[in-house]
Amino acid sequence: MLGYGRVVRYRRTVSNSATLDDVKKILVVEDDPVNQMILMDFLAANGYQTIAAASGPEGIEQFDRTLPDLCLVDVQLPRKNGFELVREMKSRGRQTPVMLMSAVYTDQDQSTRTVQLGALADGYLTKPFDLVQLLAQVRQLLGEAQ
Amino acid sequence: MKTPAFIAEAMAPANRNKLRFGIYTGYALAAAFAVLAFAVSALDLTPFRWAFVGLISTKVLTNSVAWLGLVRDRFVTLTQVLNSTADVILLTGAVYFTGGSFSPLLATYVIIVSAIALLANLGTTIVMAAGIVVSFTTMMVLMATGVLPPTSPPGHSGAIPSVGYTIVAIAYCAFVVGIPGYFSAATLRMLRQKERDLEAKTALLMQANTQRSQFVASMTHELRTPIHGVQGLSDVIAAGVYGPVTDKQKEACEKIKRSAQSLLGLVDDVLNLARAEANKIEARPSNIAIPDLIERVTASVTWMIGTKKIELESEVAKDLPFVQSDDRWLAHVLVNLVSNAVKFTPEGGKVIVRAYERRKDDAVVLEVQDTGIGIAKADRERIFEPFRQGDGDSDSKGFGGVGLGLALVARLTDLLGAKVELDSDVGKGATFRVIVPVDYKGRAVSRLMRAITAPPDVMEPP
Repeated sequence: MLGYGRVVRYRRTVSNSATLDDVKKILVVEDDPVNQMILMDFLAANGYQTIAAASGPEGIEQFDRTLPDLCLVDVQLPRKNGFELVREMKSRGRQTPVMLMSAVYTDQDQSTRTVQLGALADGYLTKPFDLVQLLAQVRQLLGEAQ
Repeated sequence: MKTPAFIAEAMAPANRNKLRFGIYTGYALAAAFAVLAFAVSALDLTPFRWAFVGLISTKVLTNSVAWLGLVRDRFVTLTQVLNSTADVILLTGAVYFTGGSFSPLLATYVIIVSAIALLANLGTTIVMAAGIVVSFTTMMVLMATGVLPPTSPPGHSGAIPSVGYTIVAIAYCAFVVGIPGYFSAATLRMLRQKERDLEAKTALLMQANTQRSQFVASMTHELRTPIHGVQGLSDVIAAGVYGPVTDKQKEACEKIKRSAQSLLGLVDDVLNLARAEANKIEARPSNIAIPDLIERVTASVTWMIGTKKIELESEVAKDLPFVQSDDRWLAHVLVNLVSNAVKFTPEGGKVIVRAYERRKDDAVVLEVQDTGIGIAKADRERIFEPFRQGDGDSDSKGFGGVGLGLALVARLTDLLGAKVELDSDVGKGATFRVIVPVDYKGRAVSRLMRAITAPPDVMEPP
């Protein structure tokens, strides 16, 4: 996350003018419609603009088109899994923070892999979501005051 | 020369144990004959003592050569065939020096043929039996024609057998050797076929079991997603995302979430059990501070008690040693035992979690005691099987759940090399003790585990 702090300071100074542009955009890549709805509605209720994608390819397309401020990416996605998607997002070099989401695995191989590749992402969230924790992480990654 | 198929089969690496056993049989027979020969010589019953010395030493020599061949894994076929041929010729020699057709050693032919039938295959048995008959016939003919001087059984005066007697003796030998040899070989072949069928069926069953476990594992993942949805949505509603919420609605949301939570717990148990059965979980030992573990466990089951009036207490001994075990699975074991205790303890009851050291076993005991309905003696082992509650008594029918928890406890404690003890009687509550070794020693197959998986010995993987 080198250089990330500088970007945050820049945004903060602008956000005081409270135009529509300053509403932070969050891209939610999640294939389960109910989980997607939970994230979208909850984030919207907390004042964020949300963009939805339901698959890996759609996720990267929205990422390039809408230039979000934060991405929430499910690990299990159709066609391109969350790890690949995060890697691809990071390869764009835009330093957009990305948070991976997955069920609490009882599968140790899977959880080890999640932790290893989670180093690639900036945050990690387990399902079922704890809404308080979710909001805290989102705010922290967006560099907002708690 | 190409080795016949039946010899190749008898010499196959899978049958080396049998060949080794054959060598031991050879030494045993040689030893027995040595004792007999010594007795006969000591009693001065035979003029042929040096012949016996020669025969027995030759047998020991060929037997040792065959043994060396097996040990070194060189010239196995050659040395085995040599040894078997020597068996036939040397035994016929012994028969000759003890009276030919009058010899008391004739029965030994049967021992050799039976041993071959049991240790080798039908082809080898037939060849050996034929060899014996040919060798015996040769000796009889040579004796009848006077080429070989007449001999007599030890202690008897000699006589040249008549032509008629010679023929009868040969036929007798053929019967004695042939009939039991054939029957044992045929029976053996039948048994081998059954063994192969069983092995194939076992492999198929094991494969089916693994597939089933994999299916369950993948299905439970699918089951979790909608449950997460239920939990998340009730949270979102309770948080007021969809408009103002009354206290009553908030309470209802909380209850929805709690129900989903217990459903999730059940799904997790199914998943873990399936994984355990497919041998897909492993222990990752680390140093565990028991007081911390117990605190975490009791905190995580508090929600289960809800409005039920049950006291949950913990008594942790001071100065407990750190325990080398898998933190997650040990916590899972304890959570299952405590939540079980909570489930089966009626209002006003008490659940106590204890931890203390048991020096003599070099272990720490985690104990969960309840004042619940108790477990009948007859149900003690059965409750550790999946999908079982103590159905011997109808008292347990009023309680929900399918009893996966204890099956998982059994699997996990086995994985951790721990043991489970159970003290209980109907109406007197139950005390479960998990004996956790202080040092992790790896998987233990406990008596309990065997009761659950109940694999008969033939079910061992090949």
